[in-house]
Amino acid sequence: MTEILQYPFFQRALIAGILLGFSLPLIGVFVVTRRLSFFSEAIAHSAFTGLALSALLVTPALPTVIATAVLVTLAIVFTLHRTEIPADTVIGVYLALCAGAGILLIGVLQGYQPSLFQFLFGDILALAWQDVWVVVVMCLGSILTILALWNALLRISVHREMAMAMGTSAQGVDLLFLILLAVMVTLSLKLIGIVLVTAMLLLPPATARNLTNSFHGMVLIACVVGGMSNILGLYASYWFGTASGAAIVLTSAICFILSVFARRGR
Amino acid sequence: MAEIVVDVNNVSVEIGGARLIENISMRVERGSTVAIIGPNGAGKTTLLRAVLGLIPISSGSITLFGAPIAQIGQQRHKIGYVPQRLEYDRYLPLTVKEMLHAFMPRISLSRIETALQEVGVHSLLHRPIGKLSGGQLQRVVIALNLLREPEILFLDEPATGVDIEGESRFYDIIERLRREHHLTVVLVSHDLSVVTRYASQVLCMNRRLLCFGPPTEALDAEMIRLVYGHDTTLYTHREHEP
Repeated sequence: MTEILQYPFFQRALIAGILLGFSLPLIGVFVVTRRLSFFSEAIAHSAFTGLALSALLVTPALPTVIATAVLVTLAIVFTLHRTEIPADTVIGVYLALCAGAGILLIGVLQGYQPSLFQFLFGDILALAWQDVWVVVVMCLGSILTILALWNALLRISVHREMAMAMGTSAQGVDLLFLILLAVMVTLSLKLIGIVLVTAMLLLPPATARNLTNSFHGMVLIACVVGGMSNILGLYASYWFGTASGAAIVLTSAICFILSVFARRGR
Repeated sequence: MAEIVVDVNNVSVEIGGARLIENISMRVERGSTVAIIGPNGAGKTTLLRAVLGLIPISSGSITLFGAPIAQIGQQRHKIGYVPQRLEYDRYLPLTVKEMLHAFMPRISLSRIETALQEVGVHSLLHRPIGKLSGGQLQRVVIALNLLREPEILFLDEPATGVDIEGESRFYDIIERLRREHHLTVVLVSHDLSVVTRYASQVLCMNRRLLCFGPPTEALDAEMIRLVYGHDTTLYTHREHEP
């Protein structure tokens, strides 16, 4: 079990996996509470456009994908503010727009696009040390941001207008949280891939919700489940020789299924 | 003359081209209870939201404690608000204690317990808010407002979904708190018995201002028909007769 730890590629994967496994559920708890899972899906799909733009403009993939995700977030917020269309419809429109534009632009590009496949399915074992440092900085930043916004996010979750009447700047907090979510989702794409990233965000909080009646308990359990799923998933992918992202998500899904039975017994 | 804490002057609200309320005026004196009544769609909640600064007004002016709501800043704790119902996810695992701490992060546990005790729900401290009844939850929200030490409390049909006995108990609590904490109360209601029992002033509206004054003067049979329709009549119970 320990011999794999001597390989630098596994060390890098473990560090990035544990950090993201801890910080994504911390954000995911509020995604579940605020019912923003569809938004995360749209942001993941914006990576198609971001990757195509990166290939066309010959810019680095990750910064271009993150910039695209932030722009899409701002466009969604602006549209919601300007119209009276329900949020899920607006998000659905941008999801279709991002996926459509991305596929069209990728079609224009000639030849094999390695970064596209890396983002589509993710490969945590292919991370370089410089990727790990980006993950470390972004995870610490996201944890600090969530801690700073913690009470405001909870207040808005309970009753947006009551929170506003009592002095919370709901629009500002929402915007900051959505940008953070967009950045963290796109950052995770390289590890887990577009197809599975939302699962990594939602499964640990959903598991935790089955196991506790308190919010602090939910956050603690979600972070532990997220971190442990990454460790166990990585080892499982090593033992069984499977794709690491899928193994991490499946480990998390098994935790969720167990929590469903545990809830029945409560 | 008592201090005016809320001054609404010729206020109109227009959203998406639709005029929701038009030229509404009222002045709320410190320590009074003002009831805003009117049929469904009359704009009662719109008026309350405008006063709280949650929606922009298209004309007129509103001041709270002598200042526009946007400039109230540090005095915002003086304003309490109890919405019609909380719109949270019923399955959110959030206890009463956690909810109160989210709104009042620096408050001590003993103060939280005292506030819950004042509204008769001290045993609910560790209960998830999703498992509270409508009446219990509204009392928790009142306790939250008490922790902020407000000078004025706005309530938007706070007893919606609560049974008749629970509603009566709820308004008795509000009246007791008003006296004990020297509060000014502005409440939206469609229940005329609440108005006659608790309000010192009543504002009748149906998008426009229909009447404003003490209930005994403002609410005559003609006004009630105007507000609620031709088949409505006010019957006074013997114990409430002047």
